[in-house]
Amino acid sequence: MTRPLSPAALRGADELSVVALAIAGDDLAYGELVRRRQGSIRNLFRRLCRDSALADDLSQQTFLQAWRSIDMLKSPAAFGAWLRRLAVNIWLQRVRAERSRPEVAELGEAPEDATRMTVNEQLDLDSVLATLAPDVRLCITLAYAERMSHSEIADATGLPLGTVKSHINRGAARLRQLLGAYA
Amino acid sequence: MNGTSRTPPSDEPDDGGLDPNLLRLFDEAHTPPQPEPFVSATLRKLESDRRERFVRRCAGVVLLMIAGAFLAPYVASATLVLASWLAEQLPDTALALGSCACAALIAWRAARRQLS
Repeated sequence: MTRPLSPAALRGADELSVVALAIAGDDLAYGELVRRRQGSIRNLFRRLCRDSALADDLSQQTFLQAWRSIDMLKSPAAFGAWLRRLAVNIWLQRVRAERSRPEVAELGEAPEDATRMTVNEQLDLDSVLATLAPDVRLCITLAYAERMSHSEIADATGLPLGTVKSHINRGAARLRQLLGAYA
Repeated sequence: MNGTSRTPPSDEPDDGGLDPNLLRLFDEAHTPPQPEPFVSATLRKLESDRRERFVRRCAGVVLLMIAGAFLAPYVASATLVLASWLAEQLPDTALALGSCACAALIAWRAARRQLS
């Protein structure tokens, strides 16, 4: 049985204990998890959509959804991967919703003159990432920024493993091409 | 682990193709956003969601109670009609056996609940 901790004690507690408390319904513990995980989730969305307000909005949705269903999490050790998977699902839902609205440009659609960017823009990784198709960008971001293995990405996105590998290879080649001078 | 920490690279064999230069670029471009405004806004949102769900649950319970109060007389009279019809239709032995079966079922459920 887990006993509630004070905010100060929560800050020093290891993540497994904090997750176990949050699963048991301790809201302070969940707040501590938001504090600890917000950086990685917000950075993930910032990479994916290049709009910090939208990224924060999607991050909030992720934490809200996680809070509503955290009691279904069986193992506290799986919290990080589970939260990331929720974030990926929220992103995919957003991409699908955007695709189903033909009058709106596709989310993060590549600019027509992506190859004619200025030198400064070429050095901006986020600008270059934005030129990739959403699925490719998602796979590249999960692989390079989140260090997820190909099979983890396939699992989280629902894409076939072969597609994930080809997205990562094609995306990396495209990044190398656009960031030509980085080496 | 805090939100800005990086997870170590996975050593699964299918990760072998990651470009080290791109990995370095991603690491260098990693900028931790300001935590506090976001955390407090998120906690406020959770609080309002919790309140909303509590109000919705209370409203559901109140609705059920009102519906129950309205329907209770009809349910009671229908049960009485059914019971008296059964009493007329079934022989005494069947009724006695039915009562015993119901009592046994109730006792079994109570015992199970106590054991768990």
